Amino acid sequence: MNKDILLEVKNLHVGYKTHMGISQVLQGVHLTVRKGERIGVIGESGSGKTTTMKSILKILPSNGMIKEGEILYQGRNILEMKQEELLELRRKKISMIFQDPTSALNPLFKVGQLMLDIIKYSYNLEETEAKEMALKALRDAALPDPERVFDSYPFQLSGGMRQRVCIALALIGDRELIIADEPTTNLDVTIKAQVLNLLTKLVRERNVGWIFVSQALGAVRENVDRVYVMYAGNIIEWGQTEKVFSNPLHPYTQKLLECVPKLTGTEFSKGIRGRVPNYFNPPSGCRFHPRCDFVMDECKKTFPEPVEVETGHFVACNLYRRR
Amino acid sequence: MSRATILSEWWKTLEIKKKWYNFRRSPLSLIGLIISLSTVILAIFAPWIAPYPEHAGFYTDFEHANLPPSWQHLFGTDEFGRDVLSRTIFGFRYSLMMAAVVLTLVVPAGVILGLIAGYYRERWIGKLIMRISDIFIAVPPLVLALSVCSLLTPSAFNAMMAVSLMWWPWYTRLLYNITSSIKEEYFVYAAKVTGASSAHIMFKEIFPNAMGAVLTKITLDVGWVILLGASLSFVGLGAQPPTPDLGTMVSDGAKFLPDYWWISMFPALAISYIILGFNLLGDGIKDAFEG
Amino acid sequence: MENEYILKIQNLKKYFETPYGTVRAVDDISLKVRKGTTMGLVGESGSGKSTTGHVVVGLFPPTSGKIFFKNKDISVPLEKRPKELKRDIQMVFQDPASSLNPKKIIRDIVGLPLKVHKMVQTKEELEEKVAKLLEMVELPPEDFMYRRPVDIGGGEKQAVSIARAIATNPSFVIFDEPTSALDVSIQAKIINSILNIQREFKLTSLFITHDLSLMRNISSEVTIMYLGKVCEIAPTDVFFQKPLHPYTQMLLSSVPVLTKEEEELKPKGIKSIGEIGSPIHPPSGCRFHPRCPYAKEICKKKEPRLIEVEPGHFVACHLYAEK
Repeated sequence: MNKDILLEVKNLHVGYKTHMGISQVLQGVHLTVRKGERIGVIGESGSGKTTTMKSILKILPSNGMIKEGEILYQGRNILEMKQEELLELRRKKISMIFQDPTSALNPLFKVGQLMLDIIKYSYNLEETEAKEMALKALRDAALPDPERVFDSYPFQLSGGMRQRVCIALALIGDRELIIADEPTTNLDVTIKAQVLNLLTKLVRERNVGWIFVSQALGAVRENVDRVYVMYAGNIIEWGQTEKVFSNPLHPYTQKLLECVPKLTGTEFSKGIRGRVPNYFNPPSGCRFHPRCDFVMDECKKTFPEPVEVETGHFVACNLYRRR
Repeated sequence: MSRATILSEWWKTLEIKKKWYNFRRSPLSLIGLIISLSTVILAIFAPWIAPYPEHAGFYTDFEHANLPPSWQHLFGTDEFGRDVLSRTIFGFRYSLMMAAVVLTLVVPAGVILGLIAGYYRERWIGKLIMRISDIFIAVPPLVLALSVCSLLTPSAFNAMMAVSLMWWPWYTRLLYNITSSIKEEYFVYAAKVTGASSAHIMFKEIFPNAMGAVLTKITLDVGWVILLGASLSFVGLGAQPPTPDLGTMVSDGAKFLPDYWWISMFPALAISYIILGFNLLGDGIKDAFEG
Repeated sequence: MENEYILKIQNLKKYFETPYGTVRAVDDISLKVRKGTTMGLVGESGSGKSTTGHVVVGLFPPTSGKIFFKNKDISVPLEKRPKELKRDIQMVFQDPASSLNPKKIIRDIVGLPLKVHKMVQTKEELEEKVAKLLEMVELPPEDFMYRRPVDIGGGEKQAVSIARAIATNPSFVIFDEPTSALDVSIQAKIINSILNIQREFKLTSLFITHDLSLMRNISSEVTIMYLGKVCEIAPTDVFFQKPLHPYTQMLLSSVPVLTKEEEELKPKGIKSIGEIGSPIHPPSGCRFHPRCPYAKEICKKKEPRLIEVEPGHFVACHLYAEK
């Protein structure tokens, strides 16, 4: 695995303008993805995962504002790029797979037309070469009978197949980074497993970086190398997958893992007390402090500095500051 | 909870603040609001605003007939010596009155029929209502209104009846579409499972969700009803002289074009002014409810 | 002895006519739910689990077959059912957003069943009862009574749906994927609410879901459905220790888990393959045969019948037919 750093997000601050004022969502989000590395970003809804991903590609809605921070792609800051360079980046280097494959594919066009459109726009190829590229991508995405899929409308395909078409689209050409935002949430259990296995295989084969954003903790655990845990716009814990899941340090991570029902039938928790914070008037310091059983005075003042508790396992929590 | 708190809570549930925010985001909507309000004010306070209120009725002064716009008569005078500005202001009154009467008749009837047709769309009653409304819609509005009016004696009242007759199907169709889609929502299923009556579901569950669309349509319709009314008056089938109806005024002044242009021009501009105002307002209301 | 079963479904079929053909959503299923227990109904898309719930509650009339509730035949849609029945059978739906009328306030949403069944006379009585119900689902009445659904979160919306469902003190509630759309920690909270309510009201429930881990923790018996047919029925513990049907095994092996103990529980050596068939043109014979690693000749020709392999454990599979 090439250890080159593909993407580095540093100190990202993002907010949204609404009729209730300006919300402070992301507070210093950071992320690193290397070639061939599979990164997981877990957190519940509203934690800022999708906002982060949309910021990377600069596709935030019109009322989204990036206030501070850098997003470096192979050293170049995406936030400072001119339109031309940004478009090249989106066409050739970074791609995104969304949660709902049905709404990601235009229902009025055949899959083939959609793919040819994208390929011709991005790569300036002739029709026949473009079609070759499209069929290859469909084959790589483990779609049975690529010719038939090429000629079908999205509604003629099942949910799992549609998502595989989206994966094929994401893999066209020599992509370097794939961002998958809840790619399997809308899929059935048995199909989920197949799609995730496929993604893992492709990522390994092509040495691309992969960011897997999801709330499905089990799926993330089984498929990524390193994981970032987000809460209310902050990265509160991150590190190698096994370490974070077998030894969760942050009180939120611990509680979160306890909430997941276990196949073994062992009792699971009653949830986390309190509510997700309001981004217009967020809690001071560590945003989890109102809901934390171990809250101390420092927690209310400033966001805790991250600490490396064991090799490759970091946490931003005052409980671990003393060491 | 005290009565005051309940009232204030109810007020909050209307989400006025959010709707206002969405509304005022577009400057055009605000312009529309100002224009619409101005027409309403002119209509209500016509007798006090118009410089020569008596000119709105039966009045002749042939000495001052056909005078071009001047400081005494900002819009000039017509063939009978009546002040065009005053008559135009009174014209607002008749136009808005027509819109008010027509919409008051048409909206409740059209909405109720649409709710029933949508809710019972598979049954005969639903299909019957929609076919009847289809018949009315198929005939071009002006043709229908003209036929009705020519059968009856021309008057402002009959013009209003004619317009109402061909306007109701649009509300039925709107409600039919909205009801058809909403009735498959889970909250309607939940109400059914609870045991609520069909009447409750139609009026208390489905209709509140159609309010935004209905209000938008009503606002936009003000302009169009007025235009249709003016078209009828233009051909002499609406308000009769000496009533200062905008359409009649345009028609009466048409024969003097292009020499005494002001007699037709200002009433015509007034019609455009009203339609523009309510159209922009309607757009704003749509944003308020959607945004 | 017969009073033990509050719900009995016999040979239920529900077909839908569509322009593409007849969708055989539920194709001859039979099951019984014991009073005071929770029957879990599990399946992927196209299994017919949601349709079963909708038919039992009366939203659709059955195409054929019978439904018995407290030994009375209720195989008719809602319009034809007596009002008292609607007090006794209630449902919580899957999508929190569309389950609540966006234009009504919580008090009126939860209060509707009380009004319809004339359980309250005055406004004060209504508010009192609604307040109690809201407290039962852990929503402070002062905060929530006058709010609109748009102002509250997904979990809170589901809590409102649950409060509405239990308002008339029903004996039987159908939960149709009540937490599928919710965050992990919120799901834990809602499930705990449901468990508490079931205990307090001695409720009998039909719990429909695709989440096997959840099923383990909430149901006393499990029924697995695939493409409109029942594959396996068993008491929960037996089901997870000894899954017999190949589809059940495939489902269990596809579940993403968090702990090593759970990994142990998953069947080894059976991977998820193939796509879920179409309910319009289901495979011949046993509907699972195209994906089944143990498929024999007979599986393509003959539909297996549901047989009791051990007390309370039923399977529909030719592998067990001889015994």
